Formats: sequence, structure tokens, C-alpha cells
Amino acid sequence: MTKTLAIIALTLTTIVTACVTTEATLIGSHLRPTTTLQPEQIVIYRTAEQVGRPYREVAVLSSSGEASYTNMTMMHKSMQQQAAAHGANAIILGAVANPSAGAQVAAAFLGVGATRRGEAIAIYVEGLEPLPAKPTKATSRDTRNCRTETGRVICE
Amino acid sequence: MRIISLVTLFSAFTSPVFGASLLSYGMATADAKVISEGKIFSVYIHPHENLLLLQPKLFQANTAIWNIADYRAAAELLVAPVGCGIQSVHAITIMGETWEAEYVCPTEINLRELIKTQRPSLKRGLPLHL
Repeated sequence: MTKTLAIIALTLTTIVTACVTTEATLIGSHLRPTTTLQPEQIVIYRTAEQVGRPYREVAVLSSSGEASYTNMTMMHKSMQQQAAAHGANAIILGAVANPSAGAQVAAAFLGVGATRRGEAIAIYVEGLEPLPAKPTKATSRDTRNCRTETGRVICE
Repeated sequence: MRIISLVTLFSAFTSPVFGASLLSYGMATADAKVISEGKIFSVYIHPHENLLLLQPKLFQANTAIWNIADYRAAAELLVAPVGCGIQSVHAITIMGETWEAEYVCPTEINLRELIKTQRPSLKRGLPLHL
């Protein structure tokens, strides 16, 4: 039963996550940084002033998603994924265009989508401490030193 | 046939750390049943490497929240009676319900052979013995 629920949850998560798409347009220097950060390690800044130190612009990120099924958190996560994929270690959020209330009502009435759009700049900040990565179960490892004592192996 | 759930199989093939280890255990049923603090594990011994594969026995509640310490405890419970220890434990699937434990035994102990000969009783949950 739990395994069936896991399959359903996994499928729904995949479908919902796929509701937001982010396109990246590379900009700036031809020398691309080569970080290997996880998306959740990408630092999010609300404004350029918050960065507080020099940085290189890596890509312009444009996200869009169905307003009824997405929220800002999903949009930010999608942006972080693209930023990480292009070697950036932070993003600066830009404008977000939410569909108006009228547009959403009309969309629901007509059965068509109302799209939320957002922009951000993926940047590379020298010496920036990345956010901690989430430990995943798959990489969990517990290793101990073993020694033999009176015919028994003791690992601690 | 070894019962490997679809989720486990899916996870195994999609996991970035997945090697050949899951399928290399063969297609036989579990070699032992280990009951540790109310949790029941199916344990398979690797045919060539000093490794054990541990999975929650099917149809138990809340297996998703079992952690690395639970799997280590189960592996230790199986091997400790014959003087072996568990050096390392790691998850081999993303979903986290299939774990591998590396065991170390005194030179005179052939754990694989012991498990093979005591398999019927081990499958009933009885402890391993010399």
C-alpha cells in the first residue's frame, strides 16, 4: 500500500514540477564557471544590491507556468535548476507578471490557461558560500573502522 | 523469484549511485529474515562480495521512515553471533528502502557458507550460529 502511494506521489510531483518551465539565455563572458551545485544550493537574491560583491552574469532566466497550478516557490526552484545547470551559484530575481484576476476568471471560465511569468539573472559570485545541500537517502553512508579482538570483529 | 517492488526497481535504475549491485544478488528469495526492534527485514547475501542487501519485508507500515541506523542494527543483528561486524552501510536507491551493508569477519569465518547452510532457519527469523 505504501509503495502504491509512493508511486502516485512520485507521479504527481513529476507532473506538478513539470508545470513550470525555465529557459536560459547565456550572456556575458565566454568563460563559463563550472560549479557543480545542487539546485537547492543556489542563493536567491531579491535585488542586485543584496549581492554586495562583484559578480558575473551567466544567463537570463525566463520562467513560465500555469498560474492555477504553480506558485512562486515552484518558479524559484525551476530557476535554481537552470542556474545550477549553467554553472551559476546565485540568482537575482526580476519582474514577475501574474495574470490579472480578470484574466484568471476568464481563463477558468473559458477553460484555457493563465500564465505566470518570471525573470531572473543567473550569476556567479566569487567566493560565495553555497547554501547547504540536502542530504539524500541515496548518498547516506555510515562507515566505521573495524578491528579484530579476541576472534570477533568490532566496528565503531 | 525474488520479490523486488516496482518502486524499488524503478529507484534502482534511476539512482545516480546505482551500479550493478542490486541485480548482482541474483534472483533467489531472501536468505534471512531479521527482526530488529519490531522491524522485519529481508536480507540477501551477495554471492561474491562481502555485502548484504537489506529491504523492509513487504506489507509493513511506515518503512519509508526507517533510517540508516535501523538498517545497520539489522545487519549487525544477523552477523554478530558469528563474530562479524558491519563496516559500512549505504542506500543504493533514491527511494531509500534498499540498503547495502559491508561486513567484515574474522579470517576463519565464512559468512556466506554459514548463511547458505543455515538458510532454512534464517528464513524463519532464527539467529545465525557457528
